[in-house]
Amino acid sequence: MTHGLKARPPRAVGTAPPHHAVGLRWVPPVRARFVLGSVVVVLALWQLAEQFGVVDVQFASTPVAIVHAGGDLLSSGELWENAQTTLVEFFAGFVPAVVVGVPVGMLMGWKLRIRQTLEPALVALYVTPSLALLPLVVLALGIGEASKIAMVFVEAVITIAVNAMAGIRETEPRLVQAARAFCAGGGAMFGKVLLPGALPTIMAGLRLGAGRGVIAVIIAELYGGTDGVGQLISSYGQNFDVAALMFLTLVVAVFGYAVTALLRILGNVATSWER
Amino acid sequence: MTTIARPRRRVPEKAMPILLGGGFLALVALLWQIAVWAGLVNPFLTSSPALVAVALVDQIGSGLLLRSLGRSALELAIGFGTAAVTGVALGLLMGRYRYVDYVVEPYVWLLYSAPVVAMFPLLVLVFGLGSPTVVAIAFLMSVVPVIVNSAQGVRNVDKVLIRTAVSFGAGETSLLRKVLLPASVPTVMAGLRLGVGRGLVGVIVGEFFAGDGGIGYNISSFAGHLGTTEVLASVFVVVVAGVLLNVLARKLESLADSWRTELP
Repeated sequence: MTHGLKARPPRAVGTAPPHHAVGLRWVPPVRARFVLGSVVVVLALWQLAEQFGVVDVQFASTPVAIVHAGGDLLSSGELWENAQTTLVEFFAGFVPAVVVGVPVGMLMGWKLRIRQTLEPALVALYVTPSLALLPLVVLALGIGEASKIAMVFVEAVITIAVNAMAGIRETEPRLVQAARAFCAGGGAMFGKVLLPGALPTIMAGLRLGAGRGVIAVIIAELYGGTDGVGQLISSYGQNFDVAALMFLTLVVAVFGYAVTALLRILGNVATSWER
Repeated sequence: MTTIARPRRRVPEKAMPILLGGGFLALVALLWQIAVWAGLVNPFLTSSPALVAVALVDQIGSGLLLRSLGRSALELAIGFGTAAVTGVALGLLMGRYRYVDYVVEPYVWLLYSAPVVAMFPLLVLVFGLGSPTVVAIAFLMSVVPVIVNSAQGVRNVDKVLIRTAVSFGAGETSLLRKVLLPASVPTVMAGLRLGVGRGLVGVIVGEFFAGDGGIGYNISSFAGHLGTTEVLASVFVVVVAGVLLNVLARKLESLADSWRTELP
């Protein structure tokens, strides 16, 4: 009757990790073993399924074939050449998005009238798929780099601004009141209370924005373009070269994960005083 | 925390946000229209609010809008519906049994950071061009937040509640039905709200690449014929649909949570 609970180790019942530290908790060896084991077993089963003809190679490819395709793409320099284009497009869109999004969002969080003016438009864009604007952006800016940069900018700036606004608004009101009671001016209030309080949420916004930006640049290149990783995916996909397609998708996933992880580390450094 | 800040926001008349926010949108539309009238911009490239309104009325009149909306809505309903069922079930298992969590975790994160839409050639190969592929993309995109949030919801359930239920002789099924599910409702609902948003992205973008009908397909095919006005009309419909879906999801979210009594 109670075997469900007994099966769990006592630590898990007694000391649950605090909610905010879930992503940072120490990885126990047992977890690493299970994760690794699961990946190895799935890859092995996948490979064996092909060998015994359980699934069609044309549809599902094989792990070995994917590695081969990846080796070819890397050694021919095709991947790196296209990745450079994509990286330039991504950062050309993401950096301005940070520069514009953070101040606008903070201003919206700080000044009531500005928030009331801009919030409906911003939130409407935030909850709708702004990728729907892609054909329009391509019509306006052509299929060159400009349309990709614009898409990354739009996707990232909305997320960043919404989070910056939320960060300012979630500042502990008692801190604001205390600062006001000690006659803090606008500058001091902003620099010493609002900005430090909002920094964790702002960094979370940058992370989310970067993730959405990576997807945006790939989809924009997929939609039309002359080079870039998305275009590479599109051309291999149209030839139904599934192994190369899967390898490239994996590369994008790893890149998105790496950017997110980098921003997470940056955010932890920037808010290290918090702990 | 916010209860203290609220009086400060409520001091101005309640109409202010509507006045300022609506006024801003109206001003943008007006400036746009004036720019077209004054000949500052070429209406072929930028269209105008009046032209978009006419195009919308045309699309409603010809039945195209309703047909496309119905199709996209059906794709979203099937994709998100299956994602909700499998996502909640898998999330509950992952939250309850940590070995399931460890085994499934890497694939969830892979699915989260991979551009699912980029896999459309593969999905087309498997499902064929058209709605089934769009449904599959919507499913793959919306299932991730549902899984992650459901698992988190179960993990965060008060351990005292679980121990109490178990010591009163609750089996695994009644523990699930009477403790775990009710206690994780807010987090699960938040996951579903995020999921439906990503599902909408999946339907629209999926139709760009693999669709043969629906709002996203219309956007991309109108754009192929340089029909800026028609594209804007369809984008407007998508924005309205997105906002309505979000409002609906938030309403459901607070409704599902309304039985909970606040503890002091």
